[in-house]
Amino acid sequence: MKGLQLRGLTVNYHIDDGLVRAVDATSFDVAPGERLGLVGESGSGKTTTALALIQLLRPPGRVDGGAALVDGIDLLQLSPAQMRERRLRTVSYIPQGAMNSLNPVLRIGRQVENALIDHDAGGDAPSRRAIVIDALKGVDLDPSVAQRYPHELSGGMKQRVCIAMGMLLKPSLIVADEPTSALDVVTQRHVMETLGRRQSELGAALILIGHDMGLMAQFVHRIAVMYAGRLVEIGSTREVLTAPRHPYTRALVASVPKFSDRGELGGIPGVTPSLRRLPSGCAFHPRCTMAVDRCRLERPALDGAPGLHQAACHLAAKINLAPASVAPQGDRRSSLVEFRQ
Amino acid sequence: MTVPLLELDQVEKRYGPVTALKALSLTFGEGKAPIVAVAGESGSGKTTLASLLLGFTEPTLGEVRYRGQALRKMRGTVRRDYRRDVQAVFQDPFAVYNPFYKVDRALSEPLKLFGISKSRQQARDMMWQACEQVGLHPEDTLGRFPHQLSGGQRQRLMIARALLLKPKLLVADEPVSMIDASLRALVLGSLRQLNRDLQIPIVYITHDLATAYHIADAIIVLYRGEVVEAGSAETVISSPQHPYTQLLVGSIPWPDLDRPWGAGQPILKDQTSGMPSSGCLFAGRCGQAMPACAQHPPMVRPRADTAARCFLHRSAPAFAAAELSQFLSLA
Amino acid sequence: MSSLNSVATEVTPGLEPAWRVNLRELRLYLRRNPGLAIGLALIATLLAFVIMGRFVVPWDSAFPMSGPASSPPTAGYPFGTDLRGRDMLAVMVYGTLMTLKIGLLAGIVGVFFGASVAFVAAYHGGWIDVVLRVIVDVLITVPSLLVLVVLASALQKSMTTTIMALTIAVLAWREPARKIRAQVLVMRESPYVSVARLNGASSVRIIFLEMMPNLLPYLCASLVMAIAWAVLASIGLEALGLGSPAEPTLGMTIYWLMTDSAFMLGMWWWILAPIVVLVILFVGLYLVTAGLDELANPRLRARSS
Repeated sequence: MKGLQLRGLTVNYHIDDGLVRAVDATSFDVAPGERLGLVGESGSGKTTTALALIQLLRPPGRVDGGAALVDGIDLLQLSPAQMRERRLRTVSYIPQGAMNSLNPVLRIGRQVENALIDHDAGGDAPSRRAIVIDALKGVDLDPSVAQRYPHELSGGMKQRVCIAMGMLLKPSLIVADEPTSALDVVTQRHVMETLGRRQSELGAALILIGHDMGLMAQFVHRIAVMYAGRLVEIGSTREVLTAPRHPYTRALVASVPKFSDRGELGGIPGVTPSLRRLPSGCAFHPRCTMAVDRCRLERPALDGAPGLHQAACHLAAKINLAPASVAPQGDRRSSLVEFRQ
Repeated sequence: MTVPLLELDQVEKRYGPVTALKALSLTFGEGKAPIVAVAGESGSGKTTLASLLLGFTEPTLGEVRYRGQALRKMRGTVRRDYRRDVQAVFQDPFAVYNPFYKVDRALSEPLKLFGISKSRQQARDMMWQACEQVGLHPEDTLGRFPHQLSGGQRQRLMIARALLLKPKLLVADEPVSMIDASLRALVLGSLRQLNRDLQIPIVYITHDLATAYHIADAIIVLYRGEVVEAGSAETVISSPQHPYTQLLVGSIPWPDLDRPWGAGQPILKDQTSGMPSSGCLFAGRCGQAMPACAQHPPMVRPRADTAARCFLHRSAPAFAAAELSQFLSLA
Repeated sequence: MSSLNSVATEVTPGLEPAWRVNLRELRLYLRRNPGLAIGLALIATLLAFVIMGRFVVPWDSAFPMSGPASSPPTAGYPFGTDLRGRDMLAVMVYGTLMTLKIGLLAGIVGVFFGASVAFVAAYHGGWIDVVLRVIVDVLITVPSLLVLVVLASALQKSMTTTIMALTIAVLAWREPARKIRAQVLVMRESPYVSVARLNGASSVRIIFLEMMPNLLPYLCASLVMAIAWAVLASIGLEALGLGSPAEPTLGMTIYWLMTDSAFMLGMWWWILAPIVVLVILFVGLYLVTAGLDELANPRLRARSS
């Protein structure tokens, strides 16, 4: 099986007063060549999910369940030594601020080469150097960059070096955690376009973690929304953006500035709940404008089936979905949904 | 003619061989309260501009004046007044709080130091009220340590601090770029509230034109220390005149599948060095560069409400740099 | 990798109280850095020895004619006595205590003075910084033993443990000044310092109320290292005979056993006891200093992780 099949990932923080569930039985698939956006606020569990996938979770966090199948191998069952070998080969992680972890005293070419050496790849020195040049060209960098030091490069160029390093061994799965957070919009576009192009060339599956719906709209094929450690909605980008089925997603989409309604700024009332004291039933119910008694008592599960536009909301089933064809931009009513009791 | 509140008079800032900000004249008059966005990437000079406005650094050329007096020579009560009148909200909602103390101190300190509150109880009441005004629950916010609040809460608390001080000018240096996208609206809403209710002009420094589009009245686009475009925020972002602004606007990730970024944009390339610095600074990255661009382009006025520094509009009427502040309704 | 660590805790904000996180980080750090742990254990053992020893032997026994001279270890005198009848057990207990006191005094004065210089230089910058930095840089290159020997010799007539401590403090402030200055230079750019300036806070207020509290762990580490250096410097000076002639510090004990020909007289117990204590002290202080240095210097820390 190609791509990623994540099944029932559960991550708990084992602290002295008990267990805190940071990720709760989350499942999703990412096909080869596909881009999945994992969206949520800080503390929603999106980064924890990524770290768990590649066994980079620190205590007291621990994976307490689930399987992460890439190329038929369950990453969660591997020993640390096996995982170390698989990192960069099977799955590659590009963390936030990766550009800041480049070694300031080594030239770029040397660092990329070191990544090859550390993974026993690339063959002899001349062959390695050829790979390094190719890798740099692949991310739109001039080969002369290999002779430079990190401080001589701009933020965007450094991030592209990190992407080049991440793709060196042709991984099947790429996890990019807010790779453009410190970059301006133009550089962000350049970096993301480079990332997307390299990913397509490799045919790898890609998970983009972030909180910016705008970036997701421009880049990913499907969006998975997380709230308080739970997956609350998943569907194609168009479906999730134009016809969100979960109230949280709807509020999230509404709070992002759009071109069409200048001056309208929405927000989500209330505060993200602490993972230690999650509300009963649906974690979003205290902040939800449509909550009913059932929401407080019973936790909703994702409806539908994998591959469809799913939402974990008791009221989602009763909501009339907007038609698949998108209404013209000026008509905001197309993104509102009819509520039928 | 009344003395302007804050004036940058032909101010230029150099750090060794690098000119961070080229000769800029900007005047902030009393009684005017627009929100002016200052947009640009890193290295554009926007941070330098903030430092100069806040008196954290001195200009290499030119003078920064508060109510007619040069900042670098100011001492005593006048300096105190300047400090109170010109305040800021910074980018990093975590680093602005001293981790050793509770967040209350960020509000109680200025109340005490500026003598705004006469007693502990009064300070407490004022802080309580300020929290509520920005939509925070005081009982959940005050008394906590910085790491116990979210980025959005911390930033709104900083705005509450500004509310308490009632400055005459607020410099907001990328106030939402380190906050989750979903929480930005609340912070920006508080800023707008500050501007409308208390008539405080805001200099909104950002690289994110999407938010500038929503809250700014006017916009100044900086590129490598120079103003390349300025005018009404809505029209400049809807229809940019300078190729750099076009590049910026074209790269905005709108959450809209029918507005793809990069549409109609040239292929991106890195800044090539080796371009004559006597010409247009953007020519090396510009998809529409012409031979004329080897000269330094002057500011012209292609539209009633937009000024741009580009030879593409060479037939437009000239625009004097000194007009800038009035043009943007700052003075 | 450290960025990942911060990601993991960022993801669960406020989940655990800060002190518990710090304690766990400390435990993990000690496990990865056994040197620091061993060093701390050695010093703790020595301290325990000194504290308990005070109940076992009286102060006077550390002075001449407290017992039979040149006696090998017996039940009454487990460490034996030296040529002049000092009870070696008492000498070890009180000598170590005195030496540690010298170190403590010199360290505290040194760090206090060094930190003051550092804060003034780093915060104000400009010419003050240049002048102070040149002074410190020059003094650092000066060989400390030479200067101290000259100073101690000059003060020989009025030498006491306190004077010894102050003599050492004359040079003990250099390294703390340099290190703390570097930290303050970084802190000066912190956004919370900018906010303090916007509050109209004076430089003094910013130094003492904003920056100092956040430097406390670093100041403590500097203090421990300064104490260590001072202890070793004092032992060195005293072993040369420059210490206070009346007080049986560790260094003076070394001096006496050499001048009173302990080797030739074959009084192994007189030699062994101070050597053992010194070795424990030296090794312990070295390990603690090396461990603390790594803690305070993130670049060294990154290499070990």
